[in-house]
Amino acid sequence: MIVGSLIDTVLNVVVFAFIGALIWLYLRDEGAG
Amino acid sequence: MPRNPLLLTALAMTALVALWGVLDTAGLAAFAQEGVAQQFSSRAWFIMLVASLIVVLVLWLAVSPYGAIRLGADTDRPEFSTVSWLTMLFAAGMGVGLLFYGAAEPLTHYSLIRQQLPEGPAAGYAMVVTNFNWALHAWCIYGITALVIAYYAYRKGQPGIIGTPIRYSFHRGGWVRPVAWIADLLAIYAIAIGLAGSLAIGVFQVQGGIASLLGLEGGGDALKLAVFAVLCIAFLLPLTMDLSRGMAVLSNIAMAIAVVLMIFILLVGPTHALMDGIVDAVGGYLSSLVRQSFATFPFFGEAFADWFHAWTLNYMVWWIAWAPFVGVFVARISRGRTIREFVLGVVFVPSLFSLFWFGVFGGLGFYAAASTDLPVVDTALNEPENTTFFVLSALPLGSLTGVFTVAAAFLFLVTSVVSAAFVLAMFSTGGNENPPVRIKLIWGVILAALGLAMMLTGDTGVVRSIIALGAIPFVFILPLLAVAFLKTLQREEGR
Repeated sequence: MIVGSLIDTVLNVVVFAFIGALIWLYLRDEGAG
Repeated sequence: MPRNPLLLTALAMTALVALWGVLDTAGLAAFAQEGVAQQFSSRAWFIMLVASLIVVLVLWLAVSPYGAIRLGADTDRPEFSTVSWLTMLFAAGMGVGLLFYGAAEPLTHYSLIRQQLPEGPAAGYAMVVTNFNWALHAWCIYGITALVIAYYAYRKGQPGIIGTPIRYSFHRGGWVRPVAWIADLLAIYAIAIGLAGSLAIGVFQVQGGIASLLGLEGGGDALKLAVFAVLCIAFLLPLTMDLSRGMAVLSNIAMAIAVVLMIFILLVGPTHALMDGIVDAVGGYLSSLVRQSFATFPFFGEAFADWFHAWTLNYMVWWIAWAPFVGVFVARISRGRTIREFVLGVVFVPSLFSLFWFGVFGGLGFYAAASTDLPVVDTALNEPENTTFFVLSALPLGSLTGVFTVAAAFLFLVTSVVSAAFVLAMFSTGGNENPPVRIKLIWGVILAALGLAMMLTGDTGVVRSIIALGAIPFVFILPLLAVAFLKTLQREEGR
C-alpha cells in the first residue's frame, strides 16, 4: 500500500516537473538562434 | 544496413517486443495490463488534460491571427482542390476501427451505464460517450501533429519528422538533440505498436465475419492464423514494388464499400429512428463537450473508473499512438493551405463523419436490441468482433453486407500496413520521402511479427493495453511539440 502510494506520488511529481519545464521553455528567450 | 542509430534502436525495440509476445504471450499481456493500470490510475488527469488542451489549442489557432499563416511559402497554393482534399481527409478518417466498434461500442457503454440510469437516458449517454471518444479529440490530436509536420516541412524546409520542431525551436541547451532523438524514436515505436494492434483487431474482425458468414463453430485460432497469413502476403508484396497508385485505389474501394454500407443501413434500416438518434446524439455531444473533456470519474467507484480507463482514456492514448502516422498523410495533402483552412477541414469533416457513422451503426445496434430477440448486448460484451455482423443480420441481405464488411476490413488492413511501413521507413531514415525498399520491407516484417504477438493474446482488451503502453511516453512529446510550434509562430509574428 505504502509502496503503491509512493510510486503514484513519484509518477505525479515527474508530471508536475514536466509541466513546469514546459512553462519555462515557453517563457524563456531563445535568442537569435 | 546503413549506420543509422535511430533505425537500429527502433528496430531492436520493436523486434524485442514482438519476440517477447510470440515466445511469452501471457507474460507480455500481464505486463501490459498491469503497466497500463498503474499508469492510467496515476496519470488519468494528465492524459485527459493534454488531450483536451490540444482541442482548445487547435480551435484557438483557427480563430487567432496565426490562422492566416500558410503551410508553405506565402505564394504557395493548395496542391489539391478543396473537394478532393476533403475526400482524402474523409479516407484518412476511415479505418478498420470504425467497422469494428461501430455497433459494439455504444452497446458496451450502455450495459454499464444502464446500472445507473434508466434505459432511454443510458442509451443516449452511451452514444454521447462514443461520439466523444471518436470525434473532436481524435481529430485535434491528429490535427496538431499534422499541422506541426506540415508547417516545419513546407514552410521552414525542415525534415518532416517528429523531432524537427524541438531541434528548430529550442536553441540553447545540450538536452535539445537527445530529446529530439527520443521524440523521433518514441514516434516510431508508437506507430509500430499502434498499427500492429489495429492489425490484430482487424484480423479478429475478419475472422469473426468469415466464421459467422460460414456458420463455423470453433476452430477460431486456425482461421485467425489463416487470415493473418493471407494478410501478410497481401501487404508484403506491395512493399517490394511501387504500388502507391494501386494502394490508393484499394483504399478508395474500401472507403466506398464502407460509405455504401452506411447509406444502405440508413435507407433500408429504421431511417427516421436512426436520424432521430443522430440528431439527438450530436446535441448531447455538443452540450456535454466541456464536461466530458475534463471528466475523470473520481467518485463513481471502481467499475466506472475501470470503464473510463478501458475506453475514453485508452482512446485518447490510441489517437496519440496513431497521430504521427495519420499526421504524415494529412500533412502531405495539406501543403499550401492556411492554418485556418486546415483546422476547418481536418478537424470538422472527419469528426462529422464519425458522428454520422456511430449514429447509424450504434443506432442500428440499439434498434436491433429493442425490436428483435437477438442477444445484441451480450454479443457486444462477449464477442465484439461479431457484433457488426450480428447487427447487420437484423436487416435484409445480411450475408451480402457481411461479405462486404469483411472485404472492406481486409482492404483497410492491407492499405494501412503498407502505408505504416512507408511512414516508419521514412521516420527512421531522417525524413527520406523515398525510403529504400528493404527498409520498408523490414518494417513490414516487424509489423507482421508485432501483429502476430498481439493476435496470440486473443483478446481485444489486452491488445488495447499493449497499444496504450506503447503510446503513453508519446503523451509527453505532444505538449512539447505544441510549445515548440507556438514559439516558432510567435517568432514568425515578430519578423
